[in-house]
Order: sequence, then C-alpha cells, then structure tokens
Amino acid sequence: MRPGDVVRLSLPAATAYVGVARSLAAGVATRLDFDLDHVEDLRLAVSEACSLLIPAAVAGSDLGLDVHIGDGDVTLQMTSATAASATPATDSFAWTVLTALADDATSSLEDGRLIIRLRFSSSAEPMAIDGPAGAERS
Amino acid sequence: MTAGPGRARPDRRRRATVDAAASVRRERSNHLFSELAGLDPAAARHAEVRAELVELHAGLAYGIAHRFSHRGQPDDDLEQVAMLGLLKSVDGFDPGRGLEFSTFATPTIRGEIRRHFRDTAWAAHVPRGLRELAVQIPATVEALSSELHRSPRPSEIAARLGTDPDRVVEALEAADAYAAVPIDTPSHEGRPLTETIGSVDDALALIDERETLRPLIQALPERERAILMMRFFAEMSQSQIAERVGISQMHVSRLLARTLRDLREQLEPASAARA
Repeated sequence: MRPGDVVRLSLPAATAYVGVARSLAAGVATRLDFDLDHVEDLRLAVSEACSLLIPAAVAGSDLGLDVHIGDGDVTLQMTSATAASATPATDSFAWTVLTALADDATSSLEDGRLIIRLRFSSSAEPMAIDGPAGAERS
Repeated sequence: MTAGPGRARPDRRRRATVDAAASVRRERSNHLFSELAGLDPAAARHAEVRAELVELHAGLAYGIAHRFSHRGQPDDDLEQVAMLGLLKSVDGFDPGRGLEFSTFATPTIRGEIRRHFRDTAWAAHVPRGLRELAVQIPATVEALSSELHRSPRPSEIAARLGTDPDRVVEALEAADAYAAVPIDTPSHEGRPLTETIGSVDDALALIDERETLRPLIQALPERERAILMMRFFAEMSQSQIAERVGISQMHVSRLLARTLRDLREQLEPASAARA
C-alpha cells in the first residue's frame, strides 16, 4: 500500500451495508499499521458518517466510500446522492462524534452529492493516562 | 452458465448402473423403515435395522460433510457430525408422510453440521495457526498498552510475538469477527465514573439537539454514559477509557458502538426504521 493509492467501494445506501463499509476502512487501517484504538475509531466514524448520509440519500442510490491512502494518514471520503439542501449541522451530536474521532472532518454539497471527508492520522503518540487528553484546552 | 449437453452425455451406461443401485437402495430403505416402524425400540432387531439404515445412507452423510470440508474442520470430525445427523434423521423419519428419506435427512444433517460450526466457530473458519496466534493477542495487547500508554500497532504486536505483521492483521480480523465479548460483563465497581468527567449539561452545551439528547444520555447506564462522555467530550482514547473503567479496550469499543447506535435510533427513529 502506497501513498496516493485509493480503495473504492460502492454500496447500496442502506444500513444493512454499513458493516461492510466499516470492515473495509478497518481492514485498510490495520494493514497500514494504525494502532488498535485508531482502527476502532475508524469503524465508529464510518457508522456515524453513514448515519448522516443514509437518511439523506436519494432512495435507491449508492453510497460511495473512497479510502485515500496518504503519507502517515488515511482520508475516508463518503458520498451519496442527496436531496438535502444543507450539509450536516456542525453542532449536531453526530458531527461532534465525528470531529472527536477524526483529525479533520469536513462536509460539502457538490452537484447534488453530500460528501463527508474524514482524515485520520496514523501517529500513535503516547498519551498521559492520568488526565483527559483535552484537559489542556480549558 | 449453460449446462452443456456434453456434460450429460459421457457414459450413459455408468449412470444407468448408478440409477439401478440407487433404486435397489431405495427399496431396501423403504423396506427397513416399514420394518423399523413395527419394532419395539428395546428389541435387538430394532438396533440392527437402525444400523443397516445408517450404513445404507452413509454416502448421503459423507457427501454433505464433504461439501462443508475445507472450512478449517478436520474431515473426520465433520463426518462424525454428519453421521450423528443421519442417525437423528433415521430416528425421526416417518415413511407414512410420503417423503423420500434423502429429502428429509439432508436438511437435518446440514443443520447438525451448521450447529457444530457455530459451537466451534473458531475452528470452523480460522486455520489453526491463526487461532493460536489470536489467543495470544489480547494479553499481548494489554501488556503493550501499559508499556506504551497507548494501544499497540499490529507491527508492535508482531514484534513482541515474533511473528509476521500480516499474520497479526489476519488474526486481529479473525478475532474481531468471532470475539463474542459479552457486552454486559460487570466492570470494576467502586468510584462513580461520572465524577471525573463533568456534567452532561456541560458536555452538551454546544450541541443543537441537546434538549433531545440530554434525557437519552441521562437514561444510559452509568458506565455507558461515562464511556460516551470520556470518549467524545473529554476526547480520551479508548485505551485510556479502558484503563479508567477497568475493562478491555475491545469492550470499550463495543460499548461505544452500541451506545452510539442506540442514541442514533432514538434520535432518528424514522431513519433507523428504514433499515
């Protein structure tokens, strides 16, 4: 697997297929030697992104998952044809979850498609167990 | 694919022989089944007839067992399980219902093999070497996690176990597919988990659906609520949460996935129902 490679999956936009998308993302990340926490985060993020895309998808349309292999990171690009006129609210619970899981999370509407991009860095820096990682923010 | 005529053509004679043998077997089978029906199960003759029936139809059981082989099960085991299924079929068959014995027995034998696969799910789908590796992984992950203060990478697990990273990847995937971690195993009781992570209201301050979410999150069992808030509002890693709560990282992952799914379903009942 090399930077620049893209793994593409196309699925019916239905919740029955979410597990398949999760497996693909986790399979790539595991093979890129992501640590196990990051792999689990990817799985959760795929579910969460699907929960935003599938209800908004045009009936009978497909959901696309592109896994872009980067240099020290992967980007999941998930899309579906949508009738929605707005991107998911950034103050929604699902989006809060996505931003907690991914290093970067963005969404956009392009030509009637809703696109969610999630970037995950593979850096596995040791973190202090004693305090929440976000403690320094306050 | 079309069933080419070339396929059916070769030796018609052999086929005729097979048909004749099958017809002799069917007659013998029918005869034995009607005899069996009239026998006292305690009678010695009953056991004899039963044994002959099993022998007569053993080919059916072996054939089905053969179709399930190459799934990581030694063929001997499968044949024994199939024979058990055959025995059950012989005991349960009612010739008065006008069914062919093979029609009746095939699903029974298959069911027996499937049950065997379920009971020994590991053996069924995971080659032995991988299974042994997978068994070593949880302890290795735990040891490395406490040394590194984060979860290990597959390459680190491989180095510790002296094996190839590719094999670790496969073992991890196999483990994930089959680790039926009981999600409700009790955690370490004691200090209230929520104390360390602030209130639900603080966490939800920036979230639009907070009026809907607050009661849902409040209604979660304490441990699930704590894990959710630690992961998404305190942005602790799954390993850190695992350490804090006293359960495995895999367990944290499963609890998080389930909690998120439940919340999603409650937030958007319409979309959940669409599945």
